[in-house]
Amino acid sequence: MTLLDFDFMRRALLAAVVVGMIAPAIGVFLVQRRLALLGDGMGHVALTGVGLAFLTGSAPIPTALLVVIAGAIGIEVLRGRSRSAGDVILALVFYGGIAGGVLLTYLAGNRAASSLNQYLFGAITTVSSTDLVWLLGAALALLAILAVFGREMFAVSFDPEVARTQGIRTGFIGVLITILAAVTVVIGMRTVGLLLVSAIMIVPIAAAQQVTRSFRGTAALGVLIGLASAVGGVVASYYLDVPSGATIVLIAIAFFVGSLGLAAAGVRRSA
Amino acid sequence: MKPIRTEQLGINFGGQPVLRNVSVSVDAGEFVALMGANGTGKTTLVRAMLGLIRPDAGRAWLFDTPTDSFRDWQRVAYVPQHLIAANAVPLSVEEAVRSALAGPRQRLRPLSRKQRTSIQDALDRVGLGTRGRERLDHLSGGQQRRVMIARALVTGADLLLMDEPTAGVDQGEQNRLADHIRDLHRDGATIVLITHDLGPVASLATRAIVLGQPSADSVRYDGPTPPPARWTEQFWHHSHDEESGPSLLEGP
Repeated sequence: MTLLDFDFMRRALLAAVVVGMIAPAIGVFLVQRRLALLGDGMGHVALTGVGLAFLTGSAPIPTALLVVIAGAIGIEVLRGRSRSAGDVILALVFYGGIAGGVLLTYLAGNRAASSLNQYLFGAITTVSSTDLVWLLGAALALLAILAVFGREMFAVSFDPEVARTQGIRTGFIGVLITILAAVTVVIGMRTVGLLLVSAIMIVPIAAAQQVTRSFRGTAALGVLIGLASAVGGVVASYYLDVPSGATIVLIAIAFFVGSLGLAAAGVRRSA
Repeated sequence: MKPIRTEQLGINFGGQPVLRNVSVSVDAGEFVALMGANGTGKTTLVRAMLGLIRPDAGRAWLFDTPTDSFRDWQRVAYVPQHLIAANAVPLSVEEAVRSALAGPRQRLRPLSRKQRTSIQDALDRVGLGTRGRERLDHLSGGQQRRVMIARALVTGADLLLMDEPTAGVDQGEQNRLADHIRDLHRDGATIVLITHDLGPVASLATRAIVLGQPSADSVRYDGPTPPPARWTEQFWHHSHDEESGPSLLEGP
């Protein structure tokens, strides 16, 4: 039997395709804004959402979605109003997120604690049809937002001051990018895990930017590398019986090392 | 309709005045050089004119509309002193120019053929027509400043505010930039140019506004170029005091 003969593997591959394509498409804005670690932090916040779902018996993905969106808005509001430095605000929210997740999961009982690993490290073969519907819905929403606001996100990422003189509401676009990163984290948590989900946003872009000349080329090649890493990781995890999340990230890092070698050899595509 | 007007504008940073009692207006089609020593608030004034800084006193208008309610941004182009930070994700020259067309009015609208042509035209006009696919950060500083001018060109704006577009640029490149800016003015644009000196670009200005330290009212001179010697000497001494090298202020 091939891996496509199993329903759970078909769902796993579809989830991998979604994550592999969406995560770098959002990650390219984080890399340009030097917010590469924002995804890690949002992963911590998502843990509170997962813990809350365990405690209340609700579905983890939509609950985590609500919590990370609230967390993303909270970070931007606090950064705008607090006297503390921006990184201190981020740290507070992130620590609060992981502490809240651990506490809520503990309160939910032993069974929840044993399920937590699926969300921390990913368990793509346990993706249910309902999970998939949520993933596809969230991914379509992200693509729609990118289609509407992508050019403004691009302008703000490169020069926020000049973007303001083009009539772009830079504060709103900043919040939007943080929310998109947060939603991407939730999309990726079942595939790569909350602790590694940021990698699939950032590493494919880091690999692509070694050999590209343009933002659009970097985003396109990043999406291809993300897709290849995610699908390759799922296939490898099936045949080698190894964890999918870690395998996906290691394949992406292999792409990065390879592109470093190509860049050192002087290869730069016209992309 | 006046493209720019300020009335008794005052701005403080950390309780210290940076601009005091600035009341100026710029008529359509004027070319104004905004001059003064370091620390006299030239960039701050331009940023306040654009609504990027909220003044502590007074008001500013763009095209007779208060800056905080101004929405007609396609009429305005800003060329900041800093270059685009294209050192994280690569940015092509063509993308840098195209980014000037992003905005709320462009949502869900693909670029028109006219807009795509205008991008190439703008690059052609600044002599970079064949460099559109290259990485922006692989160009020289002067070439990147020409890209910034191309960004302004592509907007078709009729008001341009430029903050030291010739900073760090050699004489030959300054002459080329002067040609491009002269073309813009000839096409009818209103131009406000921040400058330390009356080099080839600033010598195109017909009016100078000289700012001084904000111990008194900031505007020390507002009239035809070149400013009288007593202001140029004062400015020259300020520049000498505060900068590593002299900033020459000579008549055109």
